[in-house]
Amino acid sequence: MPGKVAEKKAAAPTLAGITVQRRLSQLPRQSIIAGFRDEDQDLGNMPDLLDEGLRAVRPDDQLKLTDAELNEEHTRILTARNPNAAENIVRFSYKERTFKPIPQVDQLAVHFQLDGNLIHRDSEEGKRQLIRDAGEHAAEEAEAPVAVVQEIAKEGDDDDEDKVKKPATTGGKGKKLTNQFNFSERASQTYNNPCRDRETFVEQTPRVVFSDNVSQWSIFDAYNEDFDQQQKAKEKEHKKIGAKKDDERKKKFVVTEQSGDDMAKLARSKSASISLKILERMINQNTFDDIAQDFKYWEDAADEYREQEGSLLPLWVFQYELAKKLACTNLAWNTFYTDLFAVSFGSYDFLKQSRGMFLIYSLKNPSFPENIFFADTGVMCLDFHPNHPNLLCSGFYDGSVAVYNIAEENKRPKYQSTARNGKHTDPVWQVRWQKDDLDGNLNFYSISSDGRIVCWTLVKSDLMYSDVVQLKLEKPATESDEGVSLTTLGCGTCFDFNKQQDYLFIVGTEEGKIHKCSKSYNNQYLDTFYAHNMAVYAVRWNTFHSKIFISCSADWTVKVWDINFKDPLFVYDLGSAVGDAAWAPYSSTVFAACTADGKVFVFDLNVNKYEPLAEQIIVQKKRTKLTHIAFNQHFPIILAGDDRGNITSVKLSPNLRKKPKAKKGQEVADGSEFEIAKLDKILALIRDPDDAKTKPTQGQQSTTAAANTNSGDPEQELTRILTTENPHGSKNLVMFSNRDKQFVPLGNLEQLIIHYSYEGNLIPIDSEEAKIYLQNEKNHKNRILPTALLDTYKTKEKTSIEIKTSNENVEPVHQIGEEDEQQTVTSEITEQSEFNELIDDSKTILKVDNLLSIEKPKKLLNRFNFCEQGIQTYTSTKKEVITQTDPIIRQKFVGLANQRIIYQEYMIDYEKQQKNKDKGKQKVSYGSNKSVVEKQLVKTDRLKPETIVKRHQVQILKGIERVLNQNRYQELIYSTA
Amino acid sequence: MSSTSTLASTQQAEIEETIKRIQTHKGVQGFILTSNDGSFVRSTIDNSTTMSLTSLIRTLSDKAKSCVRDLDPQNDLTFLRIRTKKQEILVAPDKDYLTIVLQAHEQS
Repeated sequence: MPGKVAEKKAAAPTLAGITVQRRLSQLPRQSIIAGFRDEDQDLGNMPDLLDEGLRAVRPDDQLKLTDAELNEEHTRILTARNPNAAENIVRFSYKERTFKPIPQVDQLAVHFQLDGNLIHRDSEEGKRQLIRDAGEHAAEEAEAPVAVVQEIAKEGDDDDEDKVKKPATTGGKGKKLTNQFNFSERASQTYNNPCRDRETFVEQTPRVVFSDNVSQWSIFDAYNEDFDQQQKAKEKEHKKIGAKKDDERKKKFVVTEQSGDDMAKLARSKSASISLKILERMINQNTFDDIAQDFKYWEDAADEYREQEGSLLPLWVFQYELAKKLACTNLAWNTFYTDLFAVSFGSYDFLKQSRGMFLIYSLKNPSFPENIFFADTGVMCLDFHPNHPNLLCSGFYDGSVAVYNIAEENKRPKYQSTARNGKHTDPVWQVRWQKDDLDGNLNFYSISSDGRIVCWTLVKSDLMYSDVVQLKLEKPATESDEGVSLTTLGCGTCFDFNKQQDYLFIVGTEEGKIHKCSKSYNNQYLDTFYAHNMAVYAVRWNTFHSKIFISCSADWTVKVWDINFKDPLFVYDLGSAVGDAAWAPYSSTVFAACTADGKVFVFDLNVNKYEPLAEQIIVQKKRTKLTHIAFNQHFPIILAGDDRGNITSVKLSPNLRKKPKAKKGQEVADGSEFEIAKLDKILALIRDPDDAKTKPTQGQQSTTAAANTNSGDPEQELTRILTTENPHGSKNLVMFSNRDKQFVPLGNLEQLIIHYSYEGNLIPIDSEEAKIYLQNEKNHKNRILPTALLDTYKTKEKTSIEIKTSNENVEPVHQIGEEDEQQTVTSEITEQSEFNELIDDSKTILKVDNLLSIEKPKKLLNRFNFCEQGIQTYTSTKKEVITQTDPIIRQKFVGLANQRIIYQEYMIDYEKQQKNKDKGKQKVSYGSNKSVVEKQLVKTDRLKPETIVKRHQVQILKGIERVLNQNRYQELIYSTA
Repeated sequence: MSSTSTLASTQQAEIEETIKRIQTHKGVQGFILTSNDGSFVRSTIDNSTTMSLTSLIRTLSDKAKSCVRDLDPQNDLTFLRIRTKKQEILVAPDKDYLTIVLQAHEQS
């Protein structure tokens, strides 16, 4: 409607309208009426009337405008737009689920609105009001709203000017009312739009209830997956061109793969096989739990009480069905995975050659090999590459060599030598990786009994060979008849490369010689040692010392050499063919050897130069030969392979891997330099005994050593005798094994009285023989051997005797103690004999005493003319007879229960003896008495309830510790090999 | 193609052998191998025990896995040993398979 008005009218009326409106607020009622009318007229379509009305009524404060001003046209375009309406109203659309701007805004502006309260004049109320109005007309005419309305109504209809004036003059008479209701708005009501509802039916959106837990890791996984996909998408984009064919092929492949039963699927799942492997290892760990514990934590407690002996604890035995009839031909620990080792199997019997194989074992799974590689001929040797733990080179009985990658699935050699490219014509006895050559190619050496030493180089896919040395035999004494000198080749059996000088290596031959060779001279040996009488089975450089090496042979001996000396430094006869000898990786003086009668010997030159610290039979069946031995680099265990396909692992007891204690004031030296120095010191004793004698620090042992080495060859014979078994020691000793729950034969017997084998010639002084002797002595006074000694005694006489006796007094104490320890170990017989001897000894000396006092002192003092006797007493004097046992009390016997029982029995026995001693001595030593009391206290304390409770708690703690320990061992299991 | 299939077959044989070894190992009372979608691949004990054991162990291992992963998302559960009075239950959870072994431990 306002639009229409705007079309028809000029600007002036609106202007007037505005002024009217403004006045509305200011003017009294009269003018309001006028205003109303004005508005009414404005809204009603009566322009003429309105004009006149406006002109007629002019407020006082209206601007006086000139005609020109009045006629001036103000062009204003009225639009339908409401300037005050907001333009950017948005509303949420449920259909589209977004806020949407509304294009059409309501443009209707209502400036003023007043609802009237009109009453029809013919109605009851109207009439009543009219009557009332008539009465009060004069007084309150202006205030009566009805009247006002009536007047308005009147005015609205009236066309006359009078009527316009009426409100100004009087409001009293209003009778001409035609239109009672002056609503011009009625017309506008038709503009309302009709409302219409529209509905459509759609299919209901399906709803599913979905629930899931969200945790940190699931989010993490989701992100990872997304990331992977993105990565893949990127790769695909790269590969898209030209890769279509491959894709198709892949698809086919996948399809074929997916067919098959569950097992096949399982086989493809790599993680499944890994978890199966772990499972197997776990089961093994459970069944071999005690061995695993022993492997990690068992330390032979007995080692603390014996000085020069150690023992070997058998751990796992590795067996494999198919390898049972084959001999172990080589053992090699992996250089990177300390629990992994390879064993090669073949046959040493020339007549019984068959197939061969090599197995890769892990300590984590002792019941089954990790990997199995079969070969058509015997595998004679192998070696792990020091830098590439997956590369393994091996030599075969048919003379070929091969390189395997043990990580690969297909079990075929990566490289293999053939008849065309320089394969050996005889069995390959040893292979050894070398440092990469100048081009960075991997290479290894092999030795065979065809007399060649060949260097093999891995070049791309080929195995290149070059002969390094040909082992030529020296010319035979008789030349061949034709005069043509045939150069025959020697048979190499083993070699080893010097760890410091790269070019230097030694070769052992079947003739028993050892050649010192260089990689650069292939015609000549640098040196030759006439080492053995039979084939040399192994030569090994010392781990630390670059000049020392060891060799072992079928002639029952092990020899230690210095590369610069033609004669061996040490010779040991082990009573059987020595299959292998190896230096320990942790000490320069320790080496181990294994023999054909199933024994393993461990020597420590630093502790004992003449006898092994441990000598133990470790094979299970008789007549099983041990063929090879290998130290682990990391753990204190040795592997020993025999000729029936078994690999036995044994643990070295603490005495066998003891490091010498640093003296006070010295820092604890460590590393190879120290080890070299240690070995050098021992070697110095051998080479230059006089020097050694002057050294005070060496003590008793070194002087005996010097004495022995001093006297040359016969003395060497002596050492050989010394190393043989103790003839008095019984051989069928048993010891209760907690693991096997039965008595097992004890391998390492105590070889106690070897040094005193001369003692056998002692005779009681009142025996028949002695009488003859005494008679002789009387007759030839000065010719008897020990006179030299006696001369010295002459001067001292009684004092020296006292020393002797006191020595003897101390000795039995010690001896008895020692004897007790051996109670379980040595038989009673030896004990008895020992006792007898001791008793004899003291008796004789007492007798000597008597004789001294009665007769001439000189000749009878030392009845038994052994200068060794003097040495004997020196070695056995140990002043710490009592203090030695003291720390034992505080020792917690954590390990084996039976150890404790033995110990307790010892203690009780010892105390008894001590008491007897004390009684005999009568308060000679207060110290020992006191200790006895203390011990008793300790004993009684043990039975008190508090201590028992404490012990229980300790037990629990120990249990926890045990679990922790086991877990530590498990790290072995999880590190993937 | 042929080489890969032979490879797969050797692998399968290897796995079969491993399983056989585990089954015949000392103290092993039962061996269950199930895939994660719920189907049994192998079981050496009677059906009802297998069912109950598997369902219980599976929830336990899932829970344990979730626990481990929640502590550190990059970590994962590899093995579960349940030491009981009578036996030890070894569980090897895996991406696709769940392996359970019952092993009687030595009376010591």
